[in-house]
Amino acid sequence: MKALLVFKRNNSFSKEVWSLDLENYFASFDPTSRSANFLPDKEIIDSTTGVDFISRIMENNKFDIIIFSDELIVKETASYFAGKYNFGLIAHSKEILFKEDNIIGIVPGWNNVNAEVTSNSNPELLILKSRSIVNLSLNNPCVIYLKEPTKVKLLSNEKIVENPLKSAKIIVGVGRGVERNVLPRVLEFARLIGAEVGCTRPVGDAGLLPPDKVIGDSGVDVSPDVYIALGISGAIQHIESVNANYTIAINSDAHARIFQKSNLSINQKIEEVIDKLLVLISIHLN
Amino acid sequence: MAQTDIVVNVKVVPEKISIDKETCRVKREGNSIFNPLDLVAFEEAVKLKKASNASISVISMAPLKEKDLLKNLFKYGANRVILLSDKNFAGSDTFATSFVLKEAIIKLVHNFNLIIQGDFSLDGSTGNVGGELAALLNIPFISNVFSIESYSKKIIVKRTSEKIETFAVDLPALISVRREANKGAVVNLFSLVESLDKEVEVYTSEMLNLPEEKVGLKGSLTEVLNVFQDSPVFEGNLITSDGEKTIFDFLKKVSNI
Repeated sequence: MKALLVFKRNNSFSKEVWSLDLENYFASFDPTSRSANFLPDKEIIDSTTGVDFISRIMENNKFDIIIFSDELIVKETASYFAGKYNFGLIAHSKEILFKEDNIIGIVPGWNNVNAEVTSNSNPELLILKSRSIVNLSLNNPCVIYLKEPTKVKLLSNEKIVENPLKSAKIIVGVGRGVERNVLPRVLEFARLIGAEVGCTRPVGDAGLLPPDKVIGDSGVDVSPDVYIALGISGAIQHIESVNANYTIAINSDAHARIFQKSNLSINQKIEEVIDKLLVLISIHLN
Repeated sequence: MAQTDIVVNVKVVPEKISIDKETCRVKREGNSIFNPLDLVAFEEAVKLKKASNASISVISMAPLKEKDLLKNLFKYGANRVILLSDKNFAGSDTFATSFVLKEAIIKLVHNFNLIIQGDFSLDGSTGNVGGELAALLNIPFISNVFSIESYSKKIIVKRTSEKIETFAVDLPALISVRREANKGAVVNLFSLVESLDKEVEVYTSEMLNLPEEKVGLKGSLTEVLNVFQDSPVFEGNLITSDGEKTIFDFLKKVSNI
């Protein structure tokens, strides 16, 4: 089976795809990429151009499966491409596997419910989580010359001020198990240990912390040395985005899923632990 | 600008879901709520309505029992609320859903020039419908929008990708918005009074003249083979008392203290 792997910069999903024993071809939306068989003549930043790029590749190549990274412009293109050509798109997969000659995506949902989803179209389309860059060093890429988009025009782009969570060495993560009245003490604890504060999506949605503090599928990915998860149940959408060297979890629920991922697992009330930590730190500092 | 319609796609989602172990299907539990990001999209539409001559048509594909919930959208400022409800729609994947929405928009909202919706829904989180619907309508699609700068012959939007990008997009277009756009729609006192004599319009598959093979499970291009819940299997040691001391000793080694 022939597979086209589409990405902009993050192509680490290729490691998962290799184990499937497919004939892999790579297409990048970044013309400077050295890890692709197909490159555009200019950077792709809108889905109309993204679809044009893949369509042009498909003119001379037949693929059984097209796997897209979950980078914003790539997954936006994937859904537009699926709609344009009536292909079934398996979204948002955390894992890919073969079963009875079908490609299956494991799609995480709410409350840790996962679905095994397959596509009935040919090619099958799938979006797969991809978080980092792998150097594949492919030579002599085919360059595709693309039309300027007529309906979408980029007026300007500005660098994003990097979210401090991205470079934080220690992060205190706040989940729904942290009660509102305990939050100021959690913030003080984080300040004292020099940690950044992040949170889960429900905490951000409830307005307890600003949206830029949300860690997870719909927020930022983080890679701290130490992650201190307070009252975080361990929903896949959150923990998959935390790549910590060491995780401390505090949760009053002994069955919380976060304990499967933690190096130090404290099954106590958060308020009690934080209050005692504040006392210990204050004595130590004085 | 002539009278135009802004379409807001609103999804109704359950408060909770669980797995029915016998049927391997997702069970909806608790009350139904509006997908929070769709209310953020709705609020963007309300802002554009105030600044232009547009009206707001909400479209929602949901069971008939959600009619009362959807009626609340009049209080937020909707001019029309259209409920697409039919047993044949059950089991629709994102493509079949996009097909039904496309047909409804073309057949029921004649002057639409902008479609707004949330980036993804709370229950499915696929984020596929925006792109698939835009492609079926052959209109441009921009996702992850956090600000609409202007809306006249074109729409100017800002979105976050690798950089903050500002796009001018020809209308009609579809944009999906992210959480940061606003705090979500709220009840508007003037709309509250006007809402009293407004009714949700209900359309079935037959009324929209939709081919049976294009909707529901038959019209779906993906198939859910199985659903399962991650079961927690904790095999480590849980600390159940004096955890703060262990944490403190650890933090002394790695933090500022």
